[in-house]
Amino acid sequence: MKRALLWIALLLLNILLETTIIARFIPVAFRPDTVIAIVTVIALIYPAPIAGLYAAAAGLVMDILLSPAVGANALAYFLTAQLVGIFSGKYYAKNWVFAAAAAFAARIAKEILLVLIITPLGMKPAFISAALPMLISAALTALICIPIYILKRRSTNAYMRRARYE
Amino acid sequence: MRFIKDHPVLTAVVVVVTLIIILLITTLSGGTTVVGDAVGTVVSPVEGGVSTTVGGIGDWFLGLIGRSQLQQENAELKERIAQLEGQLALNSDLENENERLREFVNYYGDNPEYELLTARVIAKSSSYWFDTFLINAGRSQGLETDMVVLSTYGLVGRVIDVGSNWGKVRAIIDSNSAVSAMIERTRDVGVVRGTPDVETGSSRCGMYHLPYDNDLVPGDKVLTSGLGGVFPKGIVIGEVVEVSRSESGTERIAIIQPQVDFAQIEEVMVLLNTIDEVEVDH
Repeated sequence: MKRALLWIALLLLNILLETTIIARFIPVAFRPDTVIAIVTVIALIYPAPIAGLYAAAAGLVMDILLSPAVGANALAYFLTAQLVGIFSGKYYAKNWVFAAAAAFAARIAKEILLVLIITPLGMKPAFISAALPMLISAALTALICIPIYILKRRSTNAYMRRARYE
Repeated sequence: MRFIKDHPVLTAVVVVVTLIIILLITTLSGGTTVVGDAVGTVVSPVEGGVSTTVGGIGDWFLGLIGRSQLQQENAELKERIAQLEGQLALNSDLENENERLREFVNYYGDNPEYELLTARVIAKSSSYWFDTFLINAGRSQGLETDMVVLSTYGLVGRVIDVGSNWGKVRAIIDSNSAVSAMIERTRDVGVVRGTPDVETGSSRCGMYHLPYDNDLVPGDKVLTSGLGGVFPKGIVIGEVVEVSRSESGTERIAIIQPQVDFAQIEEVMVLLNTIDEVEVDH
């Protein structure tokens, strides 16, 4: 319960960060997706459906606040968490390099999914012009994911050791 | 949690179907749900607080980082304010805010037919695909969907969703926005749509459906035409910076630089009267 609240608080904090600081001070081409960085960490540690629920909740809050298509971000975040969740618990996924690579791919996957979701609704996303900024953003998202993943793994390991000792 | 872990496929299907239903309902009805309103009501004051605090701190840091550039911009702004109001420019954040609000008051004076509500931008979309932002005014302040949003420089956009104390605004630079517009000099009418270039970060619009034989030149001013029933006639949108042909070669397109600096927008005004009321007053 405590862990769930912690993740929810962290996600809400990042939504605030994205919509106030990042959107105001960082040019659109260099904006990392901090929510995806956290969702990736959750999806690599917990089972995919649980990670998906966190991701969908975060996406829904973002949608309600700023999206003209409420549910689009939520669906994109949910499906991205499901994709990353394929690697959850795998031995090779317990490595920060893999986590960074997963965050990079997740950032791009989320945008592709979002475009696929909003296009049938009559919206016209300029996907080609966003390709290069998307790669830059994905790289920044991967960088942000690394410390979050390392910190999370450390705290999880400490928790496991304490539980074993008790 | 155990049920979710034990039935991952069922959970995924339920979540996806629920989200699709929410997406379809909100897109087709164009309004927010009770839950959405509640979330917005709780989160928007927090966003407002963070936005104000961060704005002050950020401005201070930006002042340290880009001091010379800011000083130059500040000098230009001082000159403009001096021309408009005959006052000396002021330095602190609070005094700058006062200046911006004073411009709003002047705008009220120049446009007595407009019933305007001043609101602060408290959050912006960081998405590539949407240019929307949140303002700290909602239903309780008289805000309704489709109301026109302005700044002292020109047209900003329109309200697309309203909660009790928040409003969601779609900027004219959003690729899904469409404004009926006309060229001030030639009176040619067309439709202005957002054409954001994510790569360069520029926020521009394109004016489409223009007559093929028009003689537009860079520098021509673009205003709202009053057609379409949403935006009143005569609000400044921007100016033509480039004229090109469409891919098929059958249509001319004007690239427009909006008068409003969407990257720096902090306060806006919402036009509370309907287009009919404004037209009657004219």
